[in-house]
Amino acid sequence: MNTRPAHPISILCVDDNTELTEALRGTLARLGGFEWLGSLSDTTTLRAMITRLKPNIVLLDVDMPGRSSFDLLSELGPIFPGTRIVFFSGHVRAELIDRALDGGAWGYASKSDTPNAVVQCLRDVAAGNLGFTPESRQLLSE
Amino acid sequence: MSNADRATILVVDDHEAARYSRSRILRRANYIVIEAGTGKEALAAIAEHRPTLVLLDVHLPDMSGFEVCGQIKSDPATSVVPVVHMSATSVSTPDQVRGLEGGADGYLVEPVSPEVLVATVGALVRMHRAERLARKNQQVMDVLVGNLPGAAYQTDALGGPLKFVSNRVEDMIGRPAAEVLSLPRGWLEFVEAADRQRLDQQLADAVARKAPFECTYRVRWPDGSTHWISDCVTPVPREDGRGVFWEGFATDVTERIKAQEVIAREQDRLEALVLQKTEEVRRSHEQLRLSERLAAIGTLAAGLGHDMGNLLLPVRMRLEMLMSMPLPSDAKENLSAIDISCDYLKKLAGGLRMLALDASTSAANASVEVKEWGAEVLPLLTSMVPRQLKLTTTFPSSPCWIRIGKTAMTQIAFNLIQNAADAMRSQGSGSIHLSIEPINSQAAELSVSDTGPGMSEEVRRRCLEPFFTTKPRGVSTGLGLALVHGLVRDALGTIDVVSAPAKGTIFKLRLHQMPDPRSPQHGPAGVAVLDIADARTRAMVAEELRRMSIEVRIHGTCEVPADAFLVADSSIRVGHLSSRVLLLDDSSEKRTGVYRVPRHPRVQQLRDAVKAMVQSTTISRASDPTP
Repeated sequence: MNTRPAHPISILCVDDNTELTEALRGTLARLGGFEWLGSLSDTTTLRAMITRLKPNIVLLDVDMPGRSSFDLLSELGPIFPGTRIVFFSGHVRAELIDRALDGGAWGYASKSDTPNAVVQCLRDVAAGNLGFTPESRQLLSE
Repeated sequence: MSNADRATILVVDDHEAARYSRSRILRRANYIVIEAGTGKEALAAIAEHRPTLVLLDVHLPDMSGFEVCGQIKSDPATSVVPVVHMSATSVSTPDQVRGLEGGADGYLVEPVSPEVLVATVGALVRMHRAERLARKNQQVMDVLVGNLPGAAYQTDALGGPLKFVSNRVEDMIGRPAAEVLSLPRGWLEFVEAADRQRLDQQLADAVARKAPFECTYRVRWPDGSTHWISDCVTPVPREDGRGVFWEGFATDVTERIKAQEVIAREQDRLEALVLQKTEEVRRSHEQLRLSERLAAIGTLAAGLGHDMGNLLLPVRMRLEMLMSMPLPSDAKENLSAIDISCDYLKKLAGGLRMLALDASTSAANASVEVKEWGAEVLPLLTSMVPRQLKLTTTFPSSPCWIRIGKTAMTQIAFNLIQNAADAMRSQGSGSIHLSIEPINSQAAELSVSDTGPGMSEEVRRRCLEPFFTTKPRGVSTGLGLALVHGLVRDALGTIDVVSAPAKGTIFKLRLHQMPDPRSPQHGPAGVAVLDIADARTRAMVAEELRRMSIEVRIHGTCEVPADAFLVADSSIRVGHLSSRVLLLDDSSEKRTGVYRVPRHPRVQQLRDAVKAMVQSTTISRASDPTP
């Protein structure tokens, strides 16, 4: 599962913290194996962007202004089975992770973990596993 | 005038003509007249008719009028009936004197004019009636006075002997009225020494001013008991105008005074109770405010930790990008230094978020490895100790797992260290030592010791109580140690406080150890082969199985070991069925040894089913005699 896929993993990032999305773009570019499709700082155009770009993974901030990310997940998940939605948040609690998984998410990455952990989480999801970072995985086992 | 109101006159004379003449005169004057001719007849008529007045001839054939009068006056039943002697022969002064001294009320000497006869009889009847009324009134008064709930009395000299006291005095003073009347000061002889002076002063005042007087004092009964008496007395002017006499009324008010005392006591008790309850309400308000403030601080800590984490991630990403570039070595050194600071900040943020979590909600099987935990929380713990104090730690050299949530462990250490730091805040220097050591294979001891001022026995005993604090409000909530106590109890541990003034304090916590949950002693607990079409469901199942230390293989890409667990989304694809199967197929059909969940199970459903399957197999395998 840790082997790099032959095709780059295409990522669409949804986060209103542009400093973070820019840093992540740089990190993914540096590490390679990813295709940065862009970032959205609000969710109004998310559906249209997924339709157009068909990303492998949408990294979705849990605390987006406007519509709840959990609502978006249950709406978009069934429409786009080829796109795997991973939650990305500084709020990491066991019940939030379970709610995300029940809603169809493929993973839950904590913003408090290291850049490498976040990248590994994305690779795990692309390889067909659920994706977590150490902090969110720790809560699963507690 | 009705018959009832008309007076009856008995006319006694043996001389018929004279008797007739007098009777006629009296009848005309509207009296009822009965007649008698002899002394014997006269006495019989008096017994029978109770006349208002007797007109008695002195000379009677059988006995003298004086004798008849003597008999009338000596009988208590008739003694009040006025008797008027009449005589034509016994007219001398000695005769008249004899008659009047013998008890007669009048003496008429014949001949008497009709007017004088009627006037004399009229005057005596009026007197008789007045007397009877007075006697009747006296009787009523006696009954009334006797029924009063207390002693009515009369005296000429206030504070001196009594000339009258009602019988009820015995109920009040425990001595009969006769005895009281015989004493020079009445019942005042028995006034308690403590009240005597005050009473005498008031009596003297009343006498001097000839004014009504009222006083409550204590008297001693013959049986030694003390009774309260309320005494009211009023001066009454004498008829002869020479000064006053006193009429009083005294009652036993012991019960009333006792009731008043009880009421006063109850009132005091109620007032004390109100004060106490008010204080309790005030305290619970304060505690509520503290709890709210604490919750607000928790939210603040969580928010701060969260924001710090969010800010740090892009910083670290940029830092790593920089570090991957070809840079001069001194620049790399600077970057390493920044990286170390970032790492420290990240742990600090993590610690802050952990402090804000509700530690009591973590699962019962939660565990934490001491050394890993220490590395993670030490920045937070160090950051809260004032500069002049030194924090040192001792952790076990080999991995040591403690049966407690990471958050709970952090909150325990945080509060114990903060408590120690607060105790030593005013000291120039001091040290706090955090130590976690295994005691045996089952238990470990977490201790926090300080070189602070120590606690008195009272404080030591109470320090784990909620809201108990020795520090000023605003510095302390009094909840830190109570929180620790609760968390230790939740983890089924014990807490011991060793402290004495000037000897420092050691909190010793005994917690349970547990085996390393990450490295099962006998390798993987088994192999599972997954035959599930939906990729995400497959990923979820795989995740749960791996957490149970089961190796996961995908159907079709490998061999299926004979004893493998099988998880499939259709029973058709399950070649052989054993007790090691979990089906995700929405079917409600029950098959022995087959675990079922919906095709798209909820996380918790899946977790429970995987656990049930793996654990039941483990048990059956352990009890199988042929491995």
